[in-house]
Amino acid sequence: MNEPPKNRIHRDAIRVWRTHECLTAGFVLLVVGGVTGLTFLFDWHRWIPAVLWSVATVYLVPAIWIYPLLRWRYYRYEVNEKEIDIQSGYFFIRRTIIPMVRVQHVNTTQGPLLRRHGLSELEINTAGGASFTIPALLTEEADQLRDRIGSLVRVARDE
Amino acid sequence: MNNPQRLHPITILFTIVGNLKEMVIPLLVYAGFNLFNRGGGQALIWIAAGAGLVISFILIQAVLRWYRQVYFVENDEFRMERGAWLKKKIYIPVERIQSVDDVESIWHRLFGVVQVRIETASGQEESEAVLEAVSRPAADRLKRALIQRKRSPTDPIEADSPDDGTETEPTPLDAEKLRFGTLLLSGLTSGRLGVVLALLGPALSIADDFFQINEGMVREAYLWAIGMLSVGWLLFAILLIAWVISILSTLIQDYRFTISRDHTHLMIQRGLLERRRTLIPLRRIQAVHIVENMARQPLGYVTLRIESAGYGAAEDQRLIAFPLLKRSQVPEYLDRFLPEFAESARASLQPVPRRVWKRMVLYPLPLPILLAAGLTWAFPLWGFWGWLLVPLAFVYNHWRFRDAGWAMTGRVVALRHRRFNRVTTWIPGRAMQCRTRCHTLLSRRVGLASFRTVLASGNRYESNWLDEKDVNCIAQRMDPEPEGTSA
Repeated sequence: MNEPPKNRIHRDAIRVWRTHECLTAGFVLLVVGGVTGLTFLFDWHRWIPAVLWSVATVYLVPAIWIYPLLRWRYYRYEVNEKEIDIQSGYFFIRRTIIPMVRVQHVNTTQGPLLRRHGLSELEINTAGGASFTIPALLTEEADQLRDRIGSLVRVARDE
Repeated sequence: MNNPQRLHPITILFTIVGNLKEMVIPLLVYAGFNLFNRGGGQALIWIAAGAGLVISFILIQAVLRWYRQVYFVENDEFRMERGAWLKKKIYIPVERIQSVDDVESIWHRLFGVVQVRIETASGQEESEAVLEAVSRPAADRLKRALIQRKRSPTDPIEADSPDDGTETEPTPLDAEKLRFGTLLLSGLTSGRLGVVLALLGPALSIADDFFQINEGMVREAYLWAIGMLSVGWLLFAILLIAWVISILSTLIQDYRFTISRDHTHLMIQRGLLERRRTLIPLRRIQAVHIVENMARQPLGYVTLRIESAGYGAAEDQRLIAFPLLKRSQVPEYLDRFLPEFAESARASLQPVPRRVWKRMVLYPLPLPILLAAGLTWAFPLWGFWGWLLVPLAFVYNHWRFRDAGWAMTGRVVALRHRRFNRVTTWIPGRAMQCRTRCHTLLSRRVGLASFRTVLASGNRYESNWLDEKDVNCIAQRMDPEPEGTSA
């Protein structure tokens, strides 16, 4: 528990997350800009847009520049016969152990952003609807890992 | 149990009544439409024809549905085929059954049948398979077939009950009935008062719709009541009525509560008007909770609840394993019915570390201070009362800190929390789907972390901040047993 798990995810994860955050930021700025426009049209209180702009800035700047970097730095995973070990998070750092016998199913997904970088996301599901992700692996690696976990689960169950 | 069985024919009647209930309004609309558009006699013919068509369709549908629905146990699977027009097959491996309930509503009791519900861990509100009405012997046969599955080596060897055709329950090893006096006490302290009062509100608004209450009437009634008794007495009367209702609802729900156990299963029966019997495999129990509400804690009484994956995650869906018992009786009671948890019930809980106090009590204080300041600024007249929030928050959080605790004994972790009720949760390692240690850079510096886990019921549990080495210890030691059979 004191040693973090061995494997890192693909470095491009940072760029994928940043792009994603930029899209979110675009949407937020649209809303804030709209409110600002309305304020000048209808002569609302000036402090409404001021507060919104400062909140948006405080929230968005680290979300785009800092968090993806931290997330990538802390993200580690390791798979052995008995369990899957994942470390994730950037502010709250979570270290999760999923016993093989508890894994229900594993799948890989790929959104448009990940596909541009040739990456996939691996999703591990247990009973009770808990799911854990290994967010950015080369598609080939992700598929191999998925199959490996699948066979490990079968072995663990049969024992 | 291998040959397909039909449900009790009374199912047809239940189906018809159920469908008619749904059809009443459309039929009335149809009739009204005809009366409106066509005059007198002709309309009646149309109405009769329409109603006749619908009713005969419902009849045929009900009979067909009953005829086509069969269930049997084969290959360690519960199998059900149903559907009047399209055939639907439901196969549930016995391994995956979390619990089997049978429910007797008043109507069921009238005809001597029961409804059987089979629950799996799908996390849906609906039961996976519902047998609307089967005779009691048939229900018992089915239950026995579902219980006596292939024994995995981990199960204790159970004495085979010889199948000599007698339709009795397997004899329990031990049973406990709730005495009426305890039930009454449970009703008095149920803490449902709030719920009942919340229900009285809508009831009043419904009455309003019915009787067109206007202000004059309220004033008159109020004056009349004032004439009779003062405002204080009026409030007191309302509270008293609500309290009586809450007591009655407890009595109706938990009347003749009985829990019994054999080697592998727990059986719980309860209810006055609607009898409900739940059969739950011991290995399927995900967690045990001890709930002490504010009325019961000073009296030293607790409620014992069981969490199973079959009933969704809502707090009120947790099965009551015993409505009321003395805190001192808990270990002995667990010995008898839930031996897996008995050891942990005897161990005393450890408090959370002292250095957590400022995180739980001081760090949240700025919020009520800000709120109070905001209130004072916005409402100069009475806003300063908002400052009362600050000591309240302080006292409440201190109270929560004092009651927080944890323990690890053998293969079970205990976590104790308080929001308003004090809840102690015992989670066996086999039920944990994952084990998470959570910390921040700040908490790491002072050597604190929290432990989280998710159960098959979909509930997640998180400890307070504990010593990091204790959390590591829990996360490492709570491995599922090598032959992890339970979900």
